Amino acid sequence: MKNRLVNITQPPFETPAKVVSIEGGPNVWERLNEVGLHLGDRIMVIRQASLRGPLLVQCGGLELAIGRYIAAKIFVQAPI
Amino acid sequence: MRLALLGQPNSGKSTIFNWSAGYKSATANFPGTTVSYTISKVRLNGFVAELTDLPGIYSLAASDRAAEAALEYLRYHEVDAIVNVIDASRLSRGLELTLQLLALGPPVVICLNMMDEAARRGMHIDLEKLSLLLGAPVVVTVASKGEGVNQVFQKVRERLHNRQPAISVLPRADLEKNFSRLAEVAVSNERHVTAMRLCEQAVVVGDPYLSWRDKIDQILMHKYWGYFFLALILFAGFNLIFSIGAALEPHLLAWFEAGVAQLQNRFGETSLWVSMLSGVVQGLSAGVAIVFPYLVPFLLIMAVLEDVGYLPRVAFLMDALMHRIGLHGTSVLPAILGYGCSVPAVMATRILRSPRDRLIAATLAIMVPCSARTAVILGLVAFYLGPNAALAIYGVNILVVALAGKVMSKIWPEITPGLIMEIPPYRLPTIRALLAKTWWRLKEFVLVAWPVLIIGSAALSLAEHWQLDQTINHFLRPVTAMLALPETVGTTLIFGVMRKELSMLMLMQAVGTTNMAAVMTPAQMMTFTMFVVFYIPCLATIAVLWREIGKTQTVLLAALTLLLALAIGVLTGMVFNMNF
Repeated sequence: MKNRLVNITQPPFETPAKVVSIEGGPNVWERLNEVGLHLGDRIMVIRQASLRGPLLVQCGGLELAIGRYIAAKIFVQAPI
Repeated sequence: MRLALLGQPNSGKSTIFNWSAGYKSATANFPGTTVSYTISKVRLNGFVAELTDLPGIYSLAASDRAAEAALEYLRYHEVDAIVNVIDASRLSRGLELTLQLLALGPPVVICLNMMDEAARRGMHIDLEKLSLLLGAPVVVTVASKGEGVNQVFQKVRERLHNRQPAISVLPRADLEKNFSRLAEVAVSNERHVTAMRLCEQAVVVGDPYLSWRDKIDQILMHKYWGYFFLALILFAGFNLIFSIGAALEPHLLAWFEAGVAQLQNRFGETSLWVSMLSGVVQGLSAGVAIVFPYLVPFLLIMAVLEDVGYLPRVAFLMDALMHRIGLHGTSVLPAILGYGCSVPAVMATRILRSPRDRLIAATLAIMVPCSARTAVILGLVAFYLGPNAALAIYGVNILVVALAGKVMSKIWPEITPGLIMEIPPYRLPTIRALLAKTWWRLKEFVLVAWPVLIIGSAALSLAEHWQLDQTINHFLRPVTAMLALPETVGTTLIFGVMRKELSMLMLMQAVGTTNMAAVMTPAQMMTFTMFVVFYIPCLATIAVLWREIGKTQTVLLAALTLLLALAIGVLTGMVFNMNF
């Protein structure tokens, strides 16, 4: 079965997945790269804040809080 | 010899610096604690060097004002060697910066810090191999305990045996601007891959050792429980500070009052010398009896929250709420630091990227009651009217701050770039670090505020002796009359602009007693405190605002806060008189 792309604000959560695309301008890429999230990394959403707050993303031993609008620009390959 | 400590945010540069230079640079467990550089002459293993603690940078591209300050230093100062501090538990990301540093020119000594943390995560690092792969010496440290710090400087010394002249690290012309940003992203991806390969070769990862630290976030960052525990932690902290302070204050005050009475009995009340001397004693007593009992526990609790690593979690929890007032979660950090002191809080806005966010966050941060204002709230309102009245002041303050944020974000609408923040692991702070930090902050009060207080207190005694204070009070009458406060309060408000806590301490001097209940009604105490909480920031804060947000904004902000304080003061008086 073919894999589809989902942004990380969508389920399934708590499942490791590979980052395949980051939308948005160089601003977003630069900032994500800086804190340690790059294309090709395996990441996992481990927590969500209430009130449409940020997501907590695990990435290579790091825990990153990422606002929902930015998270919606990070796409992973979701196993179906 | 000049050495620069360079590394990514929250890797422990300031901890190493403080271990060598004495506590001179604030440390805490969140990325972006250091926002400007500190230089100190230090004696290291028998040689003297100038050591610089720089703000953390993720790469050599300036991402925010704090990183800019670091790069600025590297452009305009020559260094003999770079000590590259890496959080060993985040080795792969740390090496991305190392790869850049190795290409710069000055010799680099790599310091793998927080080795205990790395071991906890099951990482076994082959130091020799890593050193060989990077072509630079590698030393391991646990800086919080001082382990290995001496060896770092030993290695630096060996490395500098064939001494080269010191060189500028970065070219002064801004090379980055010539780079296409897309190219920079591509290069950064390359570095990422290289760093990961280096790690694969030098690190064996075993089973991590899970502990309470990994489980506690399940409640502290929980969707709903997280907020409950946040409220609980703040409430418990408040109560603890208040109960310690309230238990000590009356005894200490009584002791000093007896001293002043004895002085007056012995030498007669009217002599010039006695009124000046009792002014000095009152200034002393105000510091010891009213500020210390609240300030010391406050600073200790603040230090614990900072060092444990709870503040980034608060930013995570509060992000959604901060968006409602046009900011994002990172802006919570300056606001929380504002409860300690407005000066570092305004400096902390450097971790925000947009100038508009910095302006709003700085404005909100100075409106939050700092520890000096907390001393007023607790020492006056909580002490005479009960802790609930003090909590009400904090409540009103949070509402006003939120409202001000909302209004400002309506005036300057902008889509905030959104939160991207690393959440560091919890760390158990050492008692030594907590005490050092508390003392470092307390020193500011002891060395700066206290002398001003004692001199001010003596000056006010003299002014009273010659009845000069009446002229000042008369001049300030429009303000005191509007707020329905006793006229004698006038002079104290001027002292309050110098240092916030002086407003209350000088109040006791101005009205001639430490028993406030005898000279002020509860409504007046509330009005006075509300006014003091909001009006014009203190001189030190004005100075730092001037530098960080510009003079026009600073003057405007001072005027606006004065108007706001007047309005809130008048309203408080009205509400209080209606209901009580």
